[in-house]
Amino acid sequence: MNLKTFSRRLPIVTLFAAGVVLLAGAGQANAQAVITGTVVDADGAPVAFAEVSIERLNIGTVAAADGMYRLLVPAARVTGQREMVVARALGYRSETLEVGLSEGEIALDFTLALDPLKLEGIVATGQAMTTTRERLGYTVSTVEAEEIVNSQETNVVSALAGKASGVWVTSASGDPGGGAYINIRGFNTALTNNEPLFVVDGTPVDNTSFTLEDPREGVAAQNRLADLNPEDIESIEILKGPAASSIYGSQGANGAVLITTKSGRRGVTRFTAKLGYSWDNVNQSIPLQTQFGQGGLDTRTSWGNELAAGTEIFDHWGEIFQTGHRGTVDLSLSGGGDRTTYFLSGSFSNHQGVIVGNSELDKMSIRLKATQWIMDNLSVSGNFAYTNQQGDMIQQGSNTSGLLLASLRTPPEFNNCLPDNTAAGTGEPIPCYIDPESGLHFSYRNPNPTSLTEGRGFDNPFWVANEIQNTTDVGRTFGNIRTDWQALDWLNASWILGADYANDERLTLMPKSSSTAVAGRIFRGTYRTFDVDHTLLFTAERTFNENLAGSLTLGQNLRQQEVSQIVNQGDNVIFGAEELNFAVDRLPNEFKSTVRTDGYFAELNVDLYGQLYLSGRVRNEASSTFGPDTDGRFWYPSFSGAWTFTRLPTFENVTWLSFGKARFGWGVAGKTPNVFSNIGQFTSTAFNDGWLTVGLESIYMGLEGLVSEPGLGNTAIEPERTTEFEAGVDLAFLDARLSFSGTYYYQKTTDAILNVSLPYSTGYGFVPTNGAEFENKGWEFSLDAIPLQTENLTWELGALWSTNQSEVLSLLGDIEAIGVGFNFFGRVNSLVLDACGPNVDQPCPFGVILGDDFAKFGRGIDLGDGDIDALFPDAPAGALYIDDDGFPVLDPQERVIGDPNPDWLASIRNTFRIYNNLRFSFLFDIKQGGDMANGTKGALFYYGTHAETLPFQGDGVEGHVFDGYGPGAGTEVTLDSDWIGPGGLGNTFTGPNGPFIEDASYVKLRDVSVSYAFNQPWVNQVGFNTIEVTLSGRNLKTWTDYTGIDPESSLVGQSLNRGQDYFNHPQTRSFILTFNFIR
Amino acid sequence: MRYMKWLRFAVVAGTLAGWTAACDFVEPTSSNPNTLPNATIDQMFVSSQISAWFFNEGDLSRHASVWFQQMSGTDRQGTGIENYQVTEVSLEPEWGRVYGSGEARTGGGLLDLRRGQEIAEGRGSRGYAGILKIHEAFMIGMAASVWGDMPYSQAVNIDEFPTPEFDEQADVYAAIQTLLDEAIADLESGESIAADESLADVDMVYGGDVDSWLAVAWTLKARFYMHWAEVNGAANYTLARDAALNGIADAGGDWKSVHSSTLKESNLWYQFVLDRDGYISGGNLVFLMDLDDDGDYTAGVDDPRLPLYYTVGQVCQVGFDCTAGDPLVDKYAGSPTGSSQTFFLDGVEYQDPGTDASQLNEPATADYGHRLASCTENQLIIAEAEAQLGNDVPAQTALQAAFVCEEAYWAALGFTIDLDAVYNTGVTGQALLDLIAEQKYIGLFLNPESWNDHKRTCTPALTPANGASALPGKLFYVQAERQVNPNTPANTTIQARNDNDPNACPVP
Repeated sequence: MNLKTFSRRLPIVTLFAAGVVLLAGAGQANAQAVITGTVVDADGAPVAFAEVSIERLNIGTVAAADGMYRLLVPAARVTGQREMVVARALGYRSETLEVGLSEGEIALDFTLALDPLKLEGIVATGQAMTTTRERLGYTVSTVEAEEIVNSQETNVVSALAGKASGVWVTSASGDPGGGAYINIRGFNTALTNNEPLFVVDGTPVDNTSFTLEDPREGVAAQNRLADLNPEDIESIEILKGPAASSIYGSQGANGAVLITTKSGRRGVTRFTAKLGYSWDNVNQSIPLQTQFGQGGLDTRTSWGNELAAGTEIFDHWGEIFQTGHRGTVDLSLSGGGDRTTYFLSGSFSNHQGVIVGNSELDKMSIRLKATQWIMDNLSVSGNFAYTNQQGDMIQQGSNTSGLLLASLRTPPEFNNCLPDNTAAGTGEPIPCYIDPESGLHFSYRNPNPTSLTEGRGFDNPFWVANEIQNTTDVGRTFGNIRTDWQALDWLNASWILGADYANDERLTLMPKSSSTAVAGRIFRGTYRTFDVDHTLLFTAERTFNENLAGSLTLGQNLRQQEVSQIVNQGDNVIFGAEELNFAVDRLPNEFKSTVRTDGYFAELNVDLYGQLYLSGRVRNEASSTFGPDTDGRFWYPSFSGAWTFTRLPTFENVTWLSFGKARFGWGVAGKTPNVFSNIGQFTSTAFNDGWLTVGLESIYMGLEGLVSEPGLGNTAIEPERTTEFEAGVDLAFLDARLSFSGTYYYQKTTDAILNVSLPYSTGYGFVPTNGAEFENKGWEFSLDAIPLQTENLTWELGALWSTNQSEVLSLLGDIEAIGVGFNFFGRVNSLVLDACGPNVDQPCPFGVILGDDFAKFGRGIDLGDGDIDALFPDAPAGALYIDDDGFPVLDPQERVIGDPNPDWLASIRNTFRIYNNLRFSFLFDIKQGGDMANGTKGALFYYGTHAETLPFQGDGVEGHVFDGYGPGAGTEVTLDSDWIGPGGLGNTFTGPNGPFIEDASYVKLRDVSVSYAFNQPWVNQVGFNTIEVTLSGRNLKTWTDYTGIDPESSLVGQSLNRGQDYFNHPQTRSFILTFNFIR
Repeated sequence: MRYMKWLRFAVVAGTLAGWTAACDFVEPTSSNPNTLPNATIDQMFVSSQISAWFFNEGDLSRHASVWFQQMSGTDRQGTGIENYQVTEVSLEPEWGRVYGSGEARTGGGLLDLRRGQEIAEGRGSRGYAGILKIHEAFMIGMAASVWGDMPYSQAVNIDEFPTPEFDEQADVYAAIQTLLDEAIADLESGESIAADESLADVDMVYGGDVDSWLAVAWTLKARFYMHWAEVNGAANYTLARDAALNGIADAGGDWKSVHSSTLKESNLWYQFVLDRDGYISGGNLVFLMDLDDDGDYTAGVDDPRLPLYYTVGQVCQVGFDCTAGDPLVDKYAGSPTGSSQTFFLDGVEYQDPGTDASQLNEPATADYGHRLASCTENQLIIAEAEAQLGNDVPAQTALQAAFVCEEAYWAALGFTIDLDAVYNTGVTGQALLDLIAEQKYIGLFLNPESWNDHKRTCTPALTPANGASALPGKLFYVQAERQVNPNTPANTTIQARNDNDPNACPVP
């Protein structure tokens, strides 16, 4: 954090410190009865941090790490009565003991039985409702705080990788603040980005991302959930599909991630201070050739002569990276008294990226969550978080001012960074990317620049990293106020009013001489979102007898989402200026929208015979994005059942099976049309053809130019519906030392809303319409085991495996394909109907890669002489067509050339706890299958700098015979620069993309951590209960056959686009040392 | 606990009130603050003009000029164009531009032109309607020349024809000749333009001048008759000549785009060079205009437009390694079509200069207006038609008149050129035809019409790139149309031919 940033934050830091002091003094009460004792497990080992409480009196405390607790009961409430005292801890069954309350000390020890299945655990199920895990009829994956913290990820979404079955997380890059993308149980909508709804403490929060420029270029976008401090999280519940998330109606089709933040607990005040420091570096490199120099076909490429012995060569990959660092300070204070609990946290971090240059992120967040019991049955909670993130990023992607694009295309003998560089004449030190003669930025394509505004071809990568500014400054406030009122013994009312405001101030400043905008360019943008959410709930609960209990909830949810976006582009910027005022040409662009939804919902739960749990839910919802020609209100029902069959008498003597549950769930959730889908009007536009940055504006020379909008408004769009059925079992064996869950699910999306392409000859480009069907089906398995458990050593093993198969079932009749992502490499992420497989007539999964390929058999191609399949009937489908001259030729039509969907995902976690002080764990994250378009390699083949171009350099490969059929089959050809390089078909610029689609399977060692908790007497003497020292590794090793930047990379970050690698920034690995002081 | 009762009452009452108030919380969105519900004829006409200019000097111009070797693709995707590596996605925005707002980057095409015509005719502004019809004829005619069969009679009528049928190319041409006749009648009707006060302000080219638009209409008629001369021969030469006699008569009447030095209003070749430096450089035309083949410009010897069209390039002699320090030589030189070609200047052999070839000069300045239809073209149509009809003398006269147009055009830009000094217009027969065709090839520099001229005249002789069997014959139908319009014909190769151009040029 630099001084300027620190001074800006000083008031906030001061306030925070004042709060800590004030709250530390709060909540102390004089006790009249003191209940003390220990909480231990069946083996006598202490259970750390168990909660001990008298629920009827709203009094509780938390045991220390050694299991000791001390519960104070105020004198006014001690009347000699008998009270039930309950001890709870995660992973254990609770124990309730009765005690007679009287003044003085009362000893009470608890022994908790293991509950690895967490059957008693309270699980959030959406819209502020909860149940216990045993009652769940559908899958809810829980991710605990420890797992989030161990991942060492600063972005909560990244932290979920490998933590739950059926969940696929892709981190776009290793940049500080780099975005991440999450998908659950496959892709089922073409409308939005297919991510689940994120809900924090009962209020949905924004997780969009914003890019100033075309997302294929510019900088990697952050997803807004990165504003949430991972240290604040108590637990995360993942509702995987409509069977679980239908209660969110039109926002629940992709599942929901319910995040619960930490709360204060009554009892002693807890204080933690955690100091962390990381060392980050790049974990995979692009191999470059170092034998052949610049020239050959032209001076931009490295197809030139073999470099003479002794020629100095430069490591164009290694030289732009360094060791990055992240320093963090996390503070928290929590506790509570008789009627108040509070949790206050603050987090401050500075992250210096691995790129040599302006790659930095400062993040600060604070949270205060406090609850006041106004009466024994009425409480009010306030829960507020504020986050500020200030970052500077570096241009990447398809962009002549992109870092890796410039660096990796540089010939091996060209030096992009002159050592000890000084200006000619004055001898003053100057940056290494400045030409000493002219004082101007040089690049390999313009090594001797003579003017500020002449083209550099590509920028010098060091200039890109140091001189182009790409800043973000985010202010985010989110939280809610919650009131809970136990109006009657059987009736509870809750009201939650939440708000989420985020403002992102962005700047991209390309000084004059940048290759993207040689005359200089400024983008300044503001992206503001403001959501307000109201939820009102009434829950009635009743136990009729031991065989029948139930609850009924009625609720109302109102939600308003506002988006406002302003981007100003300034061109021809006066050198040295940083503001739009100094741009000769200015192009503003503005967008705003407001969407409202209301939902009324009900849930009925019935518990029968203590083993059969049935639940039915329904939501009725309206949204302002529907047009007037629909009913306006829509129903989203769901139903589930769970049967703990091991409670049957027949299982009483079955000792090997300690628990067994069968469950099923069915539910419907939906999607509303995008805002303004019902309106097609007139607009101003920028005429372009994809080749120009600006084009011609229709507001031209002071005249008002308007055009018809490309989209035809549709006032009759119905909601898109995703129906899910799932069934599964949860089993536990050997006293729950081994547990297993298996789930099968089937999802079908009907009436999917598509921006259906219209023939351009109609004058329109698309109309939003209901009209596609997709399905997703798959299996999810999880296995948890405690293979070893002794007094001093515990080994816990967790494994997850899931598979999902998607299929495009229909696309509005006979439409063959619809693109739903950003075009690149043809059309990444297209919906294609029945054009997959070697014969191009098989069903297609969701979101395949359409692109150019070589002409192959089985496709009915006519290359001018008739159908090649008829001409060469012996050729099998998929075989290459070989032209007269012995070479393959281009297929005139785009084809499905890749499928980015993984075949299966898995993870394996091992945790060892030794002597209760030492903990060691590691997590492998595995993805099998799924293609990536390796555009980086395809482009470097053109330039001749990729290491794999070496065989083709010089005389090339002579006598090569392409395997295929056709008039020239068997002809020997030479593969040299003419074939691989410019003009040839062996690269992606002048040749097809198909050959550069690669399998992107991987095994990643996501996290490793060793921690030791010091709780010896000296720790107490220095003022703490525990000092925990942790050494962690994040993303340490990747095993993959993928040859690009990383099999996990994503050019367009948080969007439907997957499987695109084009000079993306690499992933990083980190070593992190953490000291956690706990009191 | 009296207050508990009140609390309960308050909660129940508050809930009911909130519940009721929420009833109209959600209403369908009825307006979009980011768009406008209506557009005036003037607002649409501004866009339609820009759209026509874009069609003339954008991607279509780039492809045609590289394929017909006025320019050369010298880097990255430019190299792909040079080698005819186009797919059905190439030029997709241009197909959209013809019809309307198919892509977000287009607009002002047939859809908005028809809307404008409807408004104009509805209020009796026949002249305004006529000008819009001329724009329609230009877009549709040029599209039919490069794509052949295309939707026209059923186009931009989504309610009746959601998947429009493709009309035969000949029917499209017949329809636009009729449309131009209507436009001429509209303009000549005298009903009109004075009543539309704003036309003079929004017509960026002619300020609403009827006579200028009439001349454009006649020149376009002549051009489109010429498109079928390869098939119909003398009949069409006669029709073309007769139409051209009413066409654009002086350089001041040229129909050209209006640009400024403001980036968002600047010439598209200027923007392309700015954004895609080196992708496209000078082509074989550089050698053609360097009449004495010495790589230098000599007044009175070489075509005086050479230094106006191109900058001086840098070339490296064969046998030298200029990347290793051997000297580059300043010469006017294009990058020959195909990779790794060499050429001779003054008997010395040079390597293909690639991106070091001559670059665009005047036509790539920000405020340069590209001609859509011109006096030069009009006179050369007369010249070619007369020569084809065997009337060499009027052909020579028209060629002389074309030179006058050219000289006046460049004089208006501040450059004095003398074409008579370097070209002998006294030739006859085939030599005269070749000279006329060559002058059209030079004079219509960067204009997509050069492609149509070459299809007909095959002059100058051009070698297809990379050993291809022929020069490109037509564009592929675009994927966006094919995937959703089952009437779209299949694409085969880029050498496929349209009905109006059955014969490929011989490979030299």
